Amino acid sequence: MKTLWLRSAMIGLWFAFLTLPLVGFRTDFLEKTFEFRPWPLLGVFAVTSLFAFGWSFISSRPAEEKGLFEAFGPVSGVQQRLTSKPTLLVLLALMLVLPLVTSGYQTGILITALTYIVLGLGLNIVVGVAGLLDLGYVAFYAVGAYSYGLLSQQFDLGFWVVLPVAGVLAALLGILLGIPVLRLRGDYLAIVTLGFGEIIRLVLENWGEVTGGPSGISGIEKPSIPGVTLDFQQQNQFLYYLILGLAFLAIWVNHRLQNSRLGRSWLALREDEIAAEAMGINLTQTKLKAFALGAFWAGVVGVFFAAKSSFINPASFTFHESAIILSIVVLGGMGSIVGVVIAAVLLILLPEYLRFLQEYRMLIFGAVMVLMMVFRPEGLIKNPRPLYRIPKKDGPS
Amino acid sequence: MSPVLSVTGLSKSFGGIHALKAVDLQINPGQIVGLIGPNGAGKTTFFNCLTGVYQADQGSVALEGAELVGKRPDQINRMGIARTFQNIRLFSKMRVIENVMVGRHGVTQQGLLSTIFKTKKMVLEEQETLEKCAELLKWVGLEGQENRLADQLAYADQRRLEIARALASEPKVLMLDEPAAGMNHTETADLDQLILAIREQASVAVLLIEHDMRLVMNLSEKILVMDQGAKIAFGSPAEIQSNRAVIAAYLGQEV
Repeated sequence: MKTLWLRSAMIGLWFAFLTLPLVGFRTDFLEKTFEFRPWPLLGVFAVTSLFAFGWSFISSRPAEEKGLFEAFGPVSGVQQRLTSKPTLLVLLALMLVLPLVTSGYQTGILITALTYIVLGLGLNIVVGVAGLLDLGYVAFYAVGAYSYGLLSQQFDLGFWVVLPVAGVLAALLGILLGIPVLRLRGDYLAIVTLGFGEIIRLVLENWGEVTGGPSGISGIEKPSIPGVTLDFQQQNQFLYYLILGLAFLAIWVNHRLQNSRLGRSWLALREDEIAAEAMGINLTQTKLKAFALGAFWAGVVGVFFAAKSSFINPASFTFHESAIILSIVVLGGMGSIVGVVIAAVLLILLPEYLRFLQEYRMLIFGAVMVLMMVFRPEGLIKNPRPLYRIPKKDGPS
Repeated sequence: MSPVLSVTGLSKSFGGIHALKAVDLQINPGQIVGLIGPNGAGKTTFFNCLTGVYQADQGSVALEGAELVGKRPDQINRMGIARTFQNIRLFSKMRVIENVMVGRHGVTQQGLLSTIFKTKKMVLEEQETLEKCAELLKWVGLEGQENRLADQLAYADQRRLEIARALASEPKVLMLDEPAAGMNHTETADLDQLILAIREQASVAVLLIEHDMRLVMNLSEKILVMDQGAKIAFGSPAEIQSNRAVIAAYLGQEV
């Protein structure tokens, strides 16, 4: 208990120190005064300490129970409650009703959040499950978007045709990128994929005759249902249900894969390549499958993005995007579907709804980062592996 | 009886260092063969050449007549050689049972599409995998620990888990790299029993690197002694104990 208090106080102190220049001083250039303000600083200290204490108090449980939790992974309890059938049904119902009762603006935000859920799930396969640090993921997103932009305008192909085609194109590109980096791991892989992401963006920017250069492609056709005309609001709702469907599909596919022979081989790859290979896992094939599948989802979402905004240019596909998607995966917890969903919602919705706190946005972001490092360095969902029902063999063995 | 594994003239050098000099070895089905030698004798290099981690420069390794030199580790595993590691290499953030399930990778087949569409074949194969792995865990004495994470296991149990994982691939030859390293006397005695049981019930041949002489002498039918990359003796434990070259390698020449 005492150490808990001490630790919380230290966190508060550290925070007060970090916010010192922002909160602790006031300068007035007209009056040429400089004022030190201790009270707000004390406030920051008190609030952070109390928050830190509260958090660690909640997450520390009686010893007996803790033993149980440790044995089966501390958060799988939370995860199971979140993914129980009733919870999921309520969530699904809520998601289905939401666009009908909220404004177009709200629906737009939700569409963005769902987009990032799918992107996060795609990258989760590569980084979270297979452990291949990919910093150029946005390249596949761009390929999807440009595939739709170009194929619809040059060859008059419809949204529904391009959706799978772009997914496959992105997957092929994923394999193409995968082949030269098969031997790389960790930092080295990160650098190469980072470069790859930039190359794709630069090609899009400079290959003017085909991609339209920095001004991009405009007037891209929105997805439609044959024989139905949609007004602006209905169009928005249609897009919402479309991406909701894609998100569910992605969750469903990822869930199945993660608890399968292929999913286990990805995890084994992440944990120990040498041991994985000694257990009969073909490294080349397994890695390429991870790259391809991750890229597939980015390609599909890219098509959706192009259709939604009806205008794309290279500025939408900078490293910043890759970084956000990667933060979603890391914040959610490596390899956890529930974690990715929560993290995507948090990272996309919070900045939107906290616009009135805009000045403090980076401050809050920093605070969250520090708190995460202290309390959950492994992400929101720490150990996503399921519990297995062990078959009891009847008769003597 | 024809040997299950026969190694002839296996050589490997790293630059100017000859880590393996034309080593020969034959293992019969169901035989336990010990591999001993002073530190740096080339025992682990020998293992790594057999399992494809290193490519041998010369010589051949035949598993029931099929050539292994030039194959990748995963191919060699599928052909029937499974191994454990000197410094434990478990998939630490996976559950104990999942570690063993990964071991069955080479003997199962279901892939991307059958998993996404949850075909009947896939479901049956998964069920079979789970059952077999649970059985294996029970057999090595890890019953009740299936749902823990691998790195939460006690040290000796981690070694047992590695053996279970290796056995899951249904090998013809099991290669154990210092399985008793870091174990106390009781744990080593338990390991004794386990290795004998493996030979009896799973009827695999076992190749065993070990520094614990009591364990090696107890278990092995034949012992291969290496020193400075070369084979210096091969024979029954009694023959090895009285072999002059072996004594010289371990204790030095009489002056």
